[in-house]
Amino acid sequence: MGETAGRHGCEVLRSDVVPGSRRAKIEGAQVISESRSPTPPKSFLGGLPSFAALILLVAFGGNRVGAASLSETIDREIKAGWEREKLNVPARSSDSVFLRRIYLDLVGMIPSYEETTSFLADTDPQKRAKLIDTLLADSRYGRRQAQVFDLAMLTRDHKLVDGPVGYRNRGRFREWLAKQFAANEPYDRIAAKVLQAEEDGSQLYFAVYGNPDEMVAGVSRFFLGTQIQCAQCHNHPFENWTQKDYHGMAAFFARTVSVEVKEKPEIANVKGKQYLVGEKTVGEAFFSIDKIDPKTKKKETIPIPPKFLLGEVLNEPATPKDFVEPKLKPGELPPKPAFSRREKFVEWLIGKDNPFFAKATANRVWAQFMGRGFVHPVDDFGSSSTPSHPKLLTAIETELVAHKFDLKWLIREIVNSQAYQAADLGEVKEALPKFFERAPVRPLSVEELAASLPIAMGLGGDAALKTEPNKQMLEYLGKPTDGQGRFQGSLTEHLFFHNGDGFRGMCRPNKGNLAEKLLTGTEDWSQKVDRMFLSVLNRPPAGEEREQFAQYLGADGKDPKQATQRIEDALWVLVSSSEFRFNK
Amino acid sequence: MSDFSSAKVLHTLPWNSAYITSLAFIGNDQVAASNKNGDILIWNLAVPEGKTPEPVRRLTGHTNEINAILATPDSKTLISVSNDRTVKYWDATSDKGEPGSVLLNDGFLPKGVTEKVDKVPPPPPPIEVKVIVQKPIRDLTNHAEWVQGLAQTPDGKTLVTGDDQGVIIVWDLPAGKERRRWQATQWIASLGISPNGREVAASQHIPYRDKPGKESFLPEFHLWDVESGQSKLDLKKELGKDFPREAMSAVVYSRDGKWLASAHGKLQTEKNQGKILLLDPATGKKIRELAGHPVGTNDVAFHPDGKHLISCGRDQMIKIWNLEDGKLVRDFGKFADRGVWIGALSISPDGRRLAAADRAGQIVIYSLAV
Amino acid sequence: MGAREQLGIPFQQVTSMNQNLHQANHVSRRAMLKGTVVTAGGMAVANWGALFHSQTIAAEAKRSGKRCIMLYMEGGASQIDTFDMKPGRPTGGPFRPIKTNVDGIQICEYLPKMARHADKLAIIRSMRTKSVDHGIGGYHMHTCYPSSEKFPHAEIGAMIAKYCENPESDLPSFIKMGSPGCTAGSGYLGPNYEPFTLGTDGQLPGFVNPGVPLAVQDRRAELLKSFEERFAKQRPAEPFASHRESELRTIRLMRARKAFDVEDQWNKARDRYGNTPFGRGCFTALKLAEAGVPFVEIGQVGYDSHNDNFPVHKANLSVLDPAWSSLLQDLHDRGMLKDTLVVWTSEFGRTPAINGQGGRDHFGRAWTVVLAGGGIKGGQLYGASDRDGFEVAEKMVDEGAYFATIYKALGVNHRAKHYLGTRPIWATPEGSKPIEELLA
Repeated sequence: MGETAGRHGCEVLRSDVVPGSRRAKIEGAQVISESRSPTPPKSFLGGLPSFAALILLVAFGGNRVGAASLSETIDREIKAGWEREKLNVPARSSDSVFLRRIYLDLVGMIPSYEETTSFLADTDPQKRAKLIDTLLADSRYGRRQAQVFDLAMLTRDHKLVDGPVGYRNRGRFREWLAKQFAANEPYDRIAAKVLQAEEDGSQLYFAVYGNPDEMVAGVSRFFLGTQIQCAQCHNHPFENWTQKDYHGMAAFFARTVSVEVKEKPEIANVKGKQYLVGEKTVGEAFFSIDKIDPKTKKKETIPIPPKFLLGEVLNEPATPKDFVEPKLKPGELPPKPAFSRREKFVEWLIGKDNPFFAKATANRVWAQFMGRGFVHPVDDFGSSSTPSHPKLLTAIETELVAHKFDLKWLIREIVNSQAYQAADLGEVKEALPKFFERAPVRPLSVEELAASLPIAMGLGGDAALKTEPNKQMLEYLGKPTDGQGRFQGSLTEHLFFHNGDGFRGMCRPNKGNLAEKLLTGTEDWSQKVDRMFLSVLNRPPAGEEREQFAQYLGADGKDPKQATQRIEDALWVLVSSSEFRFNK
Repeated sequence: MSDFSSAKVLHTLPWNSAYITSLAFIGNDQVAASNKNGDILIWNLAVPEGKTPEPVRRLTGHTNEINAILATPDSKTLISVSNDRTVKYWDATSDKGEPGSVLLNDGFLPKGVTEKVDKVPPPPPPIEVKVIVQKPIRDLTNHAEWVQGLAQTPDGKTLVTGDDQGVIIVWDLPAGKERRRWQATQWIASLGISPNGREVAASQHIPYRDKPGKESFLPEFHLWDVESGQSKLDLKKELGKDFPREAMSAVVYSRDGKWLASAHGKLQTEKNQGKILLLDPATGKKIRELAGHPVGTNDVAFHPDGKHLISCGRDQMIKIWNLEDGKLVRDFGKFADRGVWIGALSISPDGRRLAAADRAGQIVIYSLAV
Repeated sequence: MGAREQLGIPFQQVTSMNQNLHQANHVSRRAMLKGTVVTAGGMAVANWGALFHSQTIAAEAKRSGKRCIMLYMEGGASQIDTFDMKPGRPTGGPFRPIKTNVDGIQICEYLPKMARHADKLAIIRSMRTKSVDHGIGGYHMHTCYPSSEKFPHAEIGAMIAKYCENPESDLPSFIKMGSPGCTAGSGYLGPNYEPFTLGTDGQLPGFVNPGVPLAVQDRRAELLKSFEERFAKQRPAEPFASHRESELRTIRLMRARKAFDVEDQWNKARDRYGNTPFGRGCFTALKLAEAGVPFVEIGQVGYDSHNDNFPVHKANLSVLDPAWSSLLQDLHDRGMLKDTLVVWTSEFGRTPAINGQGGRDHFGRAWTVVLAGGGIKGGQLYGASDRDGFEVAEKMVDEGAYFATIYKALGVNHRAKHYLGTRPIWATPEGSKPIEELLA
């Protein structure tokens, strides 16, 4: 059962041994229905009888985008990158490393003891692919994706969504996002909906980014992958963006307004505030340009019209000169305008002429699972950032568009790749290796910790779902990196686990939790250590570890008080360890 | 009459020297304005149809920003308080003094300067007006810090001033003599005195942009008993969750003592401030709330008809409110989020005119046509 | 291996069992460094900044024993309203200058206590810097490099901690109180020099007090240590090592926590420092400096006065003046001032022109920083801005010169070279020179 440390590193990754693919090549006509990709490459094979399709597959091999799966393309390109850079090919991850990694990445929490033992014992060679499918269909997937995207969009420390009540303001938005991801709504539709802000719960984006400057900076960064905000006050110091580019984009948002829905504080403090987003009929960016009036040939100064980045000026109807803005009550939205600039922006954003969106999305989703984008930081496409794997980025972008921004499809392709399933071992010191020559190391987010601790301590899946990080956890564990993914070990984090009551409470034997099982179970200490490791670290202990821990736990004999303390100590060791704290 | 629908602009009086800080009608036909440099100009509004009034007198003596001015009910005296820590009295009606002049446009348009540097632009051709220059008739140095609070009783007998050390001084107004004083916590942001002269309402604060973390740094608002110098009512308690996070820019009793208006907006640190609370001075409880000016209200004044209140704010607007139902009756101006403030206003004693000054360097006189 | 072993410094020899346990976990920094380099099975554990683990800190560094306290005004303090007054000019504002105890130096009337310490101050009024927004300005003024380089630069506190620390001390050598202003941390210098961050008032978070008895702490720490050592084999990635080292530093911090407990003495000092969190932070910084911490930064927030500039600054200065002056006085009275550099700085200054909301906006073309104490020749004005404050008129000082001067005053090589991987990085950019006139 399980694996021992000795097996690490003995499974050298061979590029032709991809889970499932050998069967695919051998079993001929069945290949299409058993393909890992749920949507067989339509453009190429759709409509042909399956035998003919197989001939075509074999004949044209893996170089056509339409023939090879994206996973295969990923592995081919990543491998080419290793060869170019003369890097060692990483081994394949062990089952337990893969198991923990995929759970955290797809459902935001570690697997339970039962889930762990069941997976490790499974002998099905397809078990990884099947687990991936199971987790993508799990109800926690949507919740997890919502957390990741919410944090990426709105960041951790904006006043409106920071701290205890502020944190609850995120709740409605996350619930709405979770629904979108769970239903696998195409990502371009999700982006459109966030910016249209009409659906219930989707409106937080414009409450957090409450003025046109914040809106344009946020939208550019997140959806277009480019940091345009430095061009607000002067032409961008490092990039080609000018003030006109910036304000031309800001003009799309100059009429957008958001209002807070008045609610009793008792409700708002618990469920979070609610917002509505609307658009005025008039309103301009605070930036003027000179224009020659075509009739009078005179120079006039006008507010800058909306202009798509690297694109056209918006063709919009002139606002009537005598338009009077209606008087609004507090909390009331202006009436829907006949012409909406923001709506036009959304059309452009997800339209096929937009050179940024698909690429930025491809980069971002890749970065979520592989630790860093081909362009790093993930939202910093610019003249000075060359993608590390330009061909692969283009391939992913193209396929994503061909699959109509199907996120589950993309994620499935990424996590089924050998590149994603690379081992956590090796000599590479970087946390997020540029050529993906080792699996990335990232600290668990505070949401992942808050959900994983109850699972680790055997408190059950429901407890994990209900546990939100409290104010202290948010403060001390909320920002473990410098914003670019660099982990910064903080002493307060360790103090929290050393001396905080929250964790100690979970270690007290109670109601069938792990501590109680360890205390009252009849097995010997060695077996209890197995259970402990499988619960907290999702792997069996190595021989030495089993011995050492069993000795530690049994050192005071049968005294329950001493045993309880020693159990707490051991659990503390595992939870405080680097192994627990990071996803690797 | 009271819908003010036929109110309109009568005159626009430019004074672009340094921003205008306060206004006071002297009688119905003269208006005084003070500015950041410590100057006071007085215009005579009784001019022939079609002409624009020009300043006729200039009052010099203050050496720093003047925070507030008022004219006594008999229109004989003008009183000003300043960052130079003095209270000064001026003869409001005399036209005797030294001949002199004033440049009306020697200031530069206040504009933020970002990294793309905007130097002081070359000055426009000067607009010079001949005026009579006058000096104060009393120069009172009883305060040791910036004096921001200024108010008088409607009978003109009692004056009250407050400074940044929290000292409140009640004066025998005609004599210009201090009657009593007491010390409040924090700095006096604005204050008003009840018509019977027995109670002072003072809004107090320390104007941190980011409060240093503790409750004790939140603003205070007390009704003080003049005779004893003790706080009668702590409005923070009375108002509860209606108590705003920043101090009041103006605190004014109505003539009949029925209302105490307090305008929120001394300091702008959060969005959506600027409510005007109408309180019952006897109990401190909120009678009603006026929406005010998002971003901050700068000044309020009760209309002599006893039914309306006029306010001006950081959103570039002037608003007229109905006191009985709290509704907006009409407004002037164009809203802007980060706009040019309308910093001060004054209503003529007969209620027919309104003067309002903005930070772009002009005073607008409105006919209220009542 | 390391120079420490070459110097023949033995690991502690102890006799009794309890002491053994205790000492075994009393990883003094020296031993800890030795430990982390060795236990990784001979592999080059991420040894930040050094090219190979044959270079150690002891070999490069000469402990100078000096200290630095940095007062960081977050938001951009207005130079025209503090140290670079422009009386009578349209950009001057309502504050007036007052005389100080140095002829020819006048500062704002709302820094009256500081006016009595002008003889200790070097007032640099010709700062000219490039990064004029909060995030990038804070980064640049903490690391000497622009954030656009996308390199893990080290903050000034980490650099000073490295070269001035006492490795025997259990206290963290880089402490930050209050709003960070910059999150770069120790960058390429490694987790040993990450800041320990507290609230502005310098109080430790509630759970610094041990929840379990010492014997339990020790035995579980031992179990954790061997567990981590096993894990670290074949896993040299930086975050793991950073995490482990923070754990060890935490244990030592818990042991040294009394140094932060200044409550009794604070009761006597609060009237002088001002009963504010910033005042208390400054007082705690004094105590920590006394205990040998080489770098403490205290942040005062709320200077970003795009509107209501004057009331806001008046309020802020009423907090700053008593705290800063008392700090200088107390350092002086304890004979510590000659070895302690006190820096007063900000992200940038504020515009001479006053905007339509009574405020001043961000400004980097001519602003002011102030140095005092260790290594600095006090009582001087260095550099000047023009009549209205729009440009530097003489002796411009950029980020590099500012940092180089501070490092030199503290006995730190301002061109100290480190490596990240094989890429070299210097403490200040090429061409940065310390300003000799400022140095004693």
